[in-house]
Amino acid sequence: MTALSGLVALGGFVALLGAGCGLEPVPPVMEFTVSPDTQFAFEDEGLEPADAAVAAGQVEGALQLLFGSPARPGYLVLEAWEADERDPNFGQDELDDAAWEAVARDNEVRFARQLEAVRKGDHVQVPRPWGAVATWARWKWAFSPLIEARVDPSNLHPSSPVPGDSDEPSFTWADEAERFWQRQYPALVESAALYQRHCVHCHGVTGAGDGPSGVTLEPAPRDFRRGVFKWSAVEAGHRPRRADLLRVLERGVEGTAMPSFARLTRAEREGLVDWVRLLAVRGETELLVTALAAQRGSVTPELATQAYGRTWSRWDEAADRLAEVPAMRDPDAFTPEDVARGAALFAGDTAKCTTCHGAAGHGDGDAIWELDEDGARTRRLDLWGAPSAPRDLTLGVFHGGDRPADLYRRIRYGIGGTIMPAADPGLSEDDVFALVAYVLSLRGPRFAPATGEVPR
Amino acid sequence: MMRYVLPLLVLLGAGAAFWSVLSPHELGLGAAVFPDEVTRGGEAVDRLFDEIAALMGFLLLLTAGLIAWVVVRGAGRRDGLGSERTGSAALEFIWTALPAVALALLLVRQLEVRKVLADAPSAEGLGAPFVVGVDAHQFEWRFRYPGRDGAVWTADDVVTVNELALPAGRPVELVMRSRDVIHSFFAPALRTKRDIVPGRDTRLAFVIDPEDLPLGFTSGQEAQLGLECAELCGWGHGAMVGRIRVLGADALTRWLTARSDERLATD
Repeated sequence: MTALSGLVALGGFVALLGAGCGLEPVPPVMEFTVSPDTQFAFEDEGLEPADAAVAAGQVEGALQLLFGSPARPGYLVLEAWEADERDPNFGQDELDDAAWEAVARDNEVRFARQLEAVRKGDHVQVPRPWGAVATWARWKWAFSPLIEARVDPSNLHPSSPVPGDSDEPSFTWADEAERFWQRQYPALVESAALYQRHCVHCHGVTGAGDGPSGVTLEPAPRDFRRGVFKWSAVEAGHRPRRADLLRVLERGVEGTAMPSFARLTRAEREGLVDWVRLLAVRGETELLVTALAAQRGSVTPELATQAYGRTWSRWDEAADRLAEVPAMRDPDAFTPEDVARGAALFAGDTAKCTTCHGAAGHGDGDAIWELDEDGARTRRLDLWGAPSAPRDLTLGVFHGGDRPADLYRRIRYGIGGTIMPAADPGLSEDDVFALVAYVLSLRGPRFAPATGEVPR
Repeated sequence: MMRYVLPLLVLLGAGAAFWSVLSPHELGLGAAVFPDEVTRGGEAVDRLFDEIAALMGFLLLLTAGLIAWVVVRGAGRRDGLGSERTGSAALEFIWTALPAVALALLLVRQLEVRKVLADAPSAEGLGAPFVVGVDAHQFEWRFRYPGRDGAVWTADDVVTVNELALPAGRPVELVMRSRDVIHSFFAPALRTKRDIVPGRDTRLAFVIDPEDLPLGFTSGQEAQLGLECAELCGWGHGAMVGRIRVLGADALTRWLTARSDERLATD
């Protein structure tokens, strides 16, 4: 009997182990909500709390119409866009050739087994890619004639032109199958799932920077809803370009909790850019709709669409707001004279760097303080309500990057949303370069140099 | 019954041990559970893995078998009582000596393998080491390539994030520092893992063997290897994943030049 019960217990234990392996955690469904500030804004305009709650609910409904939900996202396509067939729901339409090349390079690695099968003409045997559920469904749906071998792979794809009929290149089913895996790009809903996996715990469902791990961070995670991103190559305070968001995803923000996501494929990173932009546009539209509705007393679909269009026009002008920088000088070629001139400018009355960054560059200048109503000294706040902390330049850690071009932009154009202003127009290009040289020299001997020890 | 059980277990264990030591490297357990090794001396690690697995497998079979035998035999007794024995000098000696010998064997073998790995980079004719600084911090890897001054960890380093490009057939030396907590550099295909303790330089040297790399490498393609942090370092530990790109000499120079030029880029 003892042996039998022992065996039963052992069997139960093994069964439990097996069950544990099979239990895949199902992530909770993300749901968009309106910010508590939206209701407060209506209350500030004199609405009773109950009425303000109703108005906030109307804003939520309007946003639902414009952006959908994380489970079923979709931008409203404005009539004005239809002429140029513009549709922000398809971020891949905005990729240039170089970006597509990078996408294909990464997909070659990620879908290596699928591509190998397709190239061997083994369309029936294409293995299911790990984790890419939606991709697999798309493949089964679009290529079912090929998979079920109802067509010859060397046949023309029905959607491509007949050869000889035009100069357009014609694609066979086999070509199309290869292109399918090479040009795999996540749909908005897939990017939302990726955001939920990697980003939501800091940046929050609506991109407010209020995720559970985000609230403890210093500096706080970016609140996308203002549409202002600090580390971009556009003039301070303007909407970023795709390339700016992508760069932050690739490089991370050194000195903060934002890590690099270079390990995701290029297509996945582009997809995350799509989703971050959706959250930013949604948040900005929410602010704008609320402001307009609070003045006019009601939320209408027309009003929401108007705010939506205005938000988009801000994003569309990013290309015209590039923070131009001249050709860069090699940081190794900065001379002691450059540094000395930069030091003089740093302390001078035109650039006024020391007022915030302090005489030694420790970020402890007097101008970061202001007096509140009670006469107490408090730190000046940035756009997101966080106390200003000018960079300690001696640490050599620059959030926006330490390339000369990055520092040049920060100095010349300022940092959006913060108390770091654009440089005085009185500073010439050379002056700003001298400041860059000086700032780079301030980081000093942060590290002990090391060389190889392995004997030859 | 004991008469058959014990010899059977010993035979099984010894068989496993012989198989692991005598079988070709590709059929060993180490080669099966890890990605293909690409480093000089990597086979020695796999071999050691097989030996340890065989030794432990033998001990596991022996002890588990004995326990099972005792349970089954005890269940057959109607009175429900076991027999009682007092100390046996012979048994005491056996279960002290056996593990001692096993551990001593392991120690010797490990020192041997350690020497194989440590000697590989300083072998004749491999040339000067390719030095890279590894800046580990929560939660990413930053790799620092020497700038004009030829040293790493200086202001003119070329820095990449989570992407480590390395040559094959040439010694690589990593000078690793941690900014915050203990991290661990683990590249399974290199059969190497080294803790990075804050406050000190941790050096790691190895040689990637071009002959171990997948076919196509010599024709200018690259090989990609995984890289991860193997020391729980905080909430983002799981995201501390990088990738190693093994490039041919020309491709590596081109890659480094491109990374270096990026510092002067204005976009």
